Amino acid sequence: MATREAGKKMIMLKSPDGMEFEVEEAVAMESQTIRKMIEDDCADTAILIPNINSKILSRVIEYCNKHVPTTGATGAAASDTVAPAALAEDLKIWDAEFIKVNRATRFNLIQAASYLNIKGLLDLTSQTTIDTISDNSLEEIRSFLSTKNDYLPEEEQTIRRENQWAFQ
Amino acid sequence: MGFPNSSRSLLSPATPAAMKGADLINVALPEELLEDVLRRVGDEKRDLDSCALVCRRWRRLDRATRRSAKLPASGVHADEVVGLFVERFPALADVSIDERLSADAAVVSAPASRSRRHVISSIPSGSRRRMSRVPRFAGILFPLPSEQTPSGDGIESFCLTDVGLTSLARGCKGLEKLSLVWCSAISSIGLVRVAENCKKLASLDIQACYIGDPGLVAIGEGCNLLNNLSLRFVEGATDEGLIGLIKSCGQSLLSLGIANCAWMTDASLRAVGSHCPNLEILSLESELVKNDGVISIAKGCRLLKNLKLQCIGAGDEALEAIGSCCSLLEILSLNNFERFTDRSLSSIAKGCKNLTDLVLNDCLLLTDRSLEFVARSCKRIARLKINGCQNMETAALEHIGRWCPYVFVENSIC
Repeated sequence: MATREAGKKMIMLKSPDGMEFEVEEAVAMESQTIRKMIEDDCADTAILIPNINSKILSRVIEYCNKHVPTTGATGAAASDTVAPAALAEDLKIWDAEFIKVNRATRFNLIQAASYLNIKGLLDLTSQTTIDTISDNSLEEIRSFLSTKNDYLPEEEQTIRRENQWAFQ
Repeated sequence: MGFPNSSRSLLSPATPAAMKGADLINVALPEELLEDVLRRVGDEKRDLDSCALVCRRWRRLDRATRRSAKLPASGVHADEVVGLFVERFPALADVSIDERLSADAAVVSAPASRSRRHVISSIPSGSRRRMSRVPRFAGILFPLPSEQTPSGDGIESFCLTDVGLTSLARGCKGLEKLSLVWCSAISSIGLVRVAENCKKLASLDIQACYIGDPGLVAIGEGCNLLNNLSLRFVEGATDEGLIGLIKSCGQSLLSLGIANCAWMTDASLRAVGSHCPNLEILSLESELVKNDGVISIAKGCRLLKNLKLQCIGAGDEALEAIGSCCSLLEILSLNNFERFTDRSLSSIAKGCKNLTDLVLNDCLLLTDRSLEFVARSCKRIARLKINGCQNMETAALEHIGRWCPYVFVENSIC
């Protein structure tokens, strides 16, 4: 749970399973969806995030917390002392750790990032998902994505053959 | 006011455990979000093919969204393959059809004992123009009514014809970029279909095809967004066709390349000068072009940034016009010139202060003085490539070294 700090405006985010998260306004505004609500004065004391359970929401907030300094005003102190390139490199390493989650969580994070409109998080989660496609066998891809193969064997053969119609 | 309502499936903490071993991503991601994720796969055919094999939903999304394809133009099944492919991928925007690629190995009914790789490698790249194939001049030998196409006339075809091109044009109305490489059996009829259907066409590249004037004229009339046109080894057309095209869509043309089109003369270039005020990139390789043609270009295309000339018929007057009119020129490449002298580069140096790239290949009469002019005047020169200019010596490079701080010189045998 976030604690109130002097001089920083706080906002309460509520998940549908009853959890409440108090976050700095700047952190919450990493989400363009929430930013719009705040700017339109639609956010009073607490904002209910209807689709995202507390487990996913807490991860989203963790991501926004980490990413807010590079874009928001609160990061002024940090970027004064650390070179932007080093900061970006640090974020990249942090992102790589952050995204080491199980498939279900990752897919839920994609949906949350899309719903809350957090571009960086959507890019990270989507890219991690599709990165598997280039280097793996079909079975590995299916297993990694956790998709059910709904093709009949002959159907799959047809697609393989039709894939040869075009060239690289 | 509350949160915007979402029509998407609700995420519940119970779902992941319950779905173990089952379809996670397809349950979690609604249509437009999965589409957004898949869009990041990029344009690599191999990756998109893999996506299509994952499951039916992914195949459907791939088919609805795939934008680029390279298709075969040779083989008795070329028309069929292009037709079927286009049926499956209606959103194609960037299509290249190449006669060096064969459709036969991929088709079920074909005697497909040979592998695809084998078929490709069996066509030696040096002998692309195989005159033994009948249909190359079929359109001329057997003049057809406009709705009829060569293969409809019972002529056996061994490569893509207007039938396949018509399927493409009708199936992919969003086509933006089309390359036809060595499609020797297509004619104006196919291009007319493209012009009728593909109103978004912005880039057309025709290499070694036999295209008549009506096809070029139709493209000009139908494709008002055309900004890039490249004609190489195109046969069957005349100045009249190219002028017709340029008159209709010259305003939108930004890039024009014409190489080895034995029918193209200064008349076409005069039309370019009159109708293409926005042209930025021009590449000309021609033996028929004279000073007059290049001067028309210089006077009419004042926004030229990139000019490549290989026109043995042009000389100093042509480049003087470029120097005095095209002050925005950044890249200049002069090839196989035997007629122009240091006078030419003196004018270029005076007029084109923005020059960053200069390429001189086999310009026999140029001496060190040429580079001295350029070095003193064009401070932004960053890349210099000199090849086969026998009258240039080390002094030339000394000038460059002295005056141009950023230059990278690539120099073989001056």
